[in-house]
Amino acid sequence: MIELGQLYILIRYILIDFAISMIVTLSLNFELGIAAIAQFGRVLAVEIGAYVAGGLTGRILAYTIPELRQYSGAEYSNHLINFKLVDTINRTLLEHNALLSIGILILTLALAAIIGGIVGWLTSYPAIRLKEAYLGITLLAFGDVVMLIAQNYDPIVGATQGVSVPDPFRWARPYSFEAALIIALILAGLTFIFFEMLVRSPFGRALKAMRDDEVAAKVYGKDIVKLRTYALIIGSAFAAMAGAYYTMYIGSCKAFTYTRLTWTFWPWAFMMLGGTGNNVGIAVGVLIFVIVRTIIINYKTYLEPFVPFDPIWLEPMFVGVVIILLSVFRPQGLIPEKPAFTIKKRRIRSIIEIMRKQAS
Amino acid sequence: MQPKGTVGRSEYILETKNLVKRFGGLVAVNNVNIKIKRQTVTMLMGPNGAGKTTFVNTCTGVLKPDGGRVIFDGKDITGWPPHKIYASGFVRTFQIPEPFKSLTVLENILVAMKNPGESPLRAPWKRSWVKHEEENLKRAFSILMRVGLDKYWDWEAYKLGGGQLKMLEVARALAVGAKLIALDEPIGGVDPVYANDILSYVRRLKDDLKLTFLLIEHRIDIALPFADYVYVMDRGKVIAEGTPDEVANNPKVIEIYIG
Amino acid sequence: MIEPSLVYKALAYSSNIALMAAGITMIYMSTETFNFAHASKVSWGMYFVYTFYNFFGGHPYIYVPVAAILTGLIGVAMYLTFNRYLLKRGAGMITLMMSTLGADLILLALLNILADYLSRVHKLYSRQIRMEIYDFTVAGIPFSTLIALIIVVTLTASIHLFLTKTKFGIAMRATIENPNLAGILGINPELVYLTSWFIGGALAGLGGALLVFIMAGYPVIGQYLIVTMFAGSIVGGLYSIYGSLLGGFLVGLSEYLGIWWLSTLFGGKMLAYRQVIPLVAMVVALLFFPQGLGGIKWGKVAKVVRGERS
Ligand SMILES: Nc1ncnc2c1ncn2[C@@H]1O[C@H](COP(=O)(O)OP(=O)(O)OP(=O)(O)O)[C@@H](O)[C@H]1O
Ligand SMILES: [Mg+2]
Repeated sequence: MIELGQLYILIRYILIDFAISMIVTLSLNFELGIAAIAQFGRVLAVEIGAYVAGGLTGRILAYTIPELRQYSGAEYSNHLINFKLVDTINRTLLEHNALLSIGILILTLALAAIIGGIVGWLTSYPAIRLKEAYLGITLLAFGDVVMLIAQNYDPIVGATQGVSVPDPFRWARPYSFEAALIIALILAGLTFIFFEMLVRSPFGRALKAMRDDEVAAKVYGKDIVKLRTYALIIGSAFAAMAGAYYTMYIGSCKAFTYTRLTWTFWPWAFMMLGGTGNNVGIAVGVLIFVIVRTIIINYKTYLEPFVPFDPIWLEPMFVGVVIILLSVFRPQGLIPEKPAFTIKKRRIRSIIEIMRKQAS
Repeated sequence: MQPKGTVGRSEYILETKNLVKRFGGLVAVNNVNIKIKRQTVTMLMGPNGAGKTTFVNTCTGVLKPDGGRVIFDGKDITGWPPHKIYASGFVRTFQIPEPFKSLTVLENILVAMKNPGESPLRAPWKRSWVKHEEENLKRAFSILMRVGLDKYWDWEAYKLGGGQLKMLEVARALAVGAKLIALDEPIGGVDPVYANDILSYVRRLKDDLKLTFLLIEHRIDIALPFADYVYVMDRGKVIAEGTPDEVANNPKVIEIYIG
Repeated sequence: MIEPSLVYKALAYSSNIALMAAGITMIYMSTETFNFAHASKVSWGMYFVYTFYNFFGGHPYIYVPVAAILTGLIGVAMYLTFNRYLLKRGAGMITLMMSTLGADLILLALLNILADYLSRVHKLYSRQIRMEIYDFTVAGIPFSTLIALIIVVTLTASIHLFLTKTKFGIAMRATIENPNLAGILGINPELVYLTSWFIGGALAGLGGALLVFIMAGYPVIGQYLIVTMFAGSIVGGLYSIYGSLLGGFLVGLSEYLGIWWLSTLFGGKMLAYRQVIPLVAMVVALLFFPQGLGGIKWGKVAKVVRGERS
């Protein structure tokens, strides 16, 4: 039996992983499930957001402190200086100032969203010219190359050494983790509501029309280039926020954390399991995977003595099997997409009833 | 890129000048000159493979023409993308239905209508578009009642049968509020009584809403009485034109229809 | 000046990339499946050679064909277990691609398990395998280069003969070009798809097995190389085996020599950005020559070059 304290830690971990994965997967679902863009480069926007949190916010803060100003340039991410810098920032600015901390958190998320949105806009260049798998591979390669550059070019986020990230949750000590968790859950909830609103708007409907039949959508007035671009901008902005949030919660930013496996393929698997095109399904898919993942990571030590390998490999194996089983037996996922109305169905019914009465 | 030479308002809403469309060696539309008078039902007929659908595709921007010009409502729309042609007031249906499969019947109609909520900036603020949407809803539903699809309003389009999909095509085009509507074989495979009903509805709309129709049809027996003017195409060329009577008695037309 | 040994390595590397790219094209042409699992198959090719050599001895080169056959069989298994059903259902390109990603994850996990097993039970240094010392020279040329070049040339010739002279090859071409026609001609398209998966998988393993003699291998090496492989296949035009061989060769060569050149200009720091070169090649190809090398009418080019304008 596990103790209560352990269980609490486990649940806490599951929930924050759930919240962050949820934002990424919802953004992926919006681009792929609703707008039919082969987004195989989700990691690109996520890592951009992470680099904003790791490389930009800290520099801005360092700039505001006169003694640190000289380090707010390229030197900021030198690992010999960085940890001292960030420590000073944390102690002098953030530790005792909840309001400022929250302000910094919001500023970082906003910057991540803007820069992520710009990256999404840039990726629309190939996205409106290439089809399906070709686009997927191009986006995948973009994500890889950005990581490669960040991993090797010091001045971004300290290359392989990484950088520390100003801690916007420190004021809540000893409940920093709880603070990070609650804010994450709120963000995930807001993201969910936002995407639900989009899906249930004429805009979301136009995206679905484009997904279902591109030629008919064009003939009925949909500017495909614009729709795709909007979807990419919105999706990437949210993915970038998730990346930024994750980085702030982890407290450090290392370029190699942002692999295509964790931030592109995993969200794909979550989405496929839950149900492509359905935000509720996404929530379910993410939750199931996150629980399984956490269990594997936490209980691997129990299994370790009995097998001649690291049980951590069971995780990709599990995800791989699930992906194949889903694509063969249940491509629509656990909770398939349902029609989403712009106006409540009840309201539509009452309007219809009145019209029927008038007609007869 | 798009020449915007204004030709001025004429009595014709659509005019093509030496329109050409080739598929490799095949000239599917060969120097076609067709003029459509405002507020008429103009019919385009011809045997299989005559180039009727290709003509519509070329006019509505689905295909890029290889030569000639398309003048719509005084504007040279040659080579415009389809959504701009839609915006200027010209829509068409598809001979082989192209519904938005996962959307409901009602939404298939609504999606074709203009709504400010299609802008991503306004989409999250329901209040900014919901009034407009309810107005659209009423119009969409009255059209669905007219074509007999109202019972299926909350069905996803993929669940409909062939004839129902045809009607969905027609309903979607009628809902747009366009000036010119091209109907590509709207009553193909629909039973004659129902077909007559639909075509008389089309004629009534023409009068009530001052619309113009281009009606592409195979079944001359049913369609001819509803037309004001008729063009006949064969192997990419216009081979005859005139009033329904003139065309029906034209030996060239009789010849191609006998085969 | 560029060292001859570097030129040899560049030639071997590019030839192996050419083989891998041809494998991707082979499977894509016949089944419209972009095969992500090619990544792990390449890594498996390397580890098959390494493992068999450590268990059974002899010269490591003798295990190269074994590795190719085994990865070919992995391809067959992928076709039979899921690709076949997805094709029958008429699944879209994205579903097809995603399912191979699932297979890639499984293969990657299994390979890591193998590597763990080799290091924990057999105390082998299996997380980074090095076999360069087993390479030897023939007439002053490293065997790794010689054999890779020979295979690429033979493959080019034999594919041509196979597709134009043998009955099954002709059938295969017909099926790829028009699956309905194949049915009418009495050819079993499934057999054709199966063969493509076998050959495609074998080419991945072959490329990996030969690569282990010129560079260090580790379980995720395929995931790094996959961008280069896809780039080769796409530069080749995706619908031509010759195109992919040429595309893979050129992409591999420009990656290897390009990064060498850049690092002589700007220092060793540049080496880290090696992967950028295939990416650029691929994006340029996709956006500006979507037909790729295979789509260029070489006959026409030759005429233009000779000055006989058509
Ligand atoms: N996309 C295309 N590519 C190649 N050829 C085409 C294409 N579309 C149509 N064609 C050819 O162009 C010719 C005209 O076809 P089109 O569909 O316009 O005829 P239609 O008059 O609409 O015939 P139907 O009464 O059968 O609908 C036909 O020979 C057809 O095979
Ligand atoms: Mg037609």
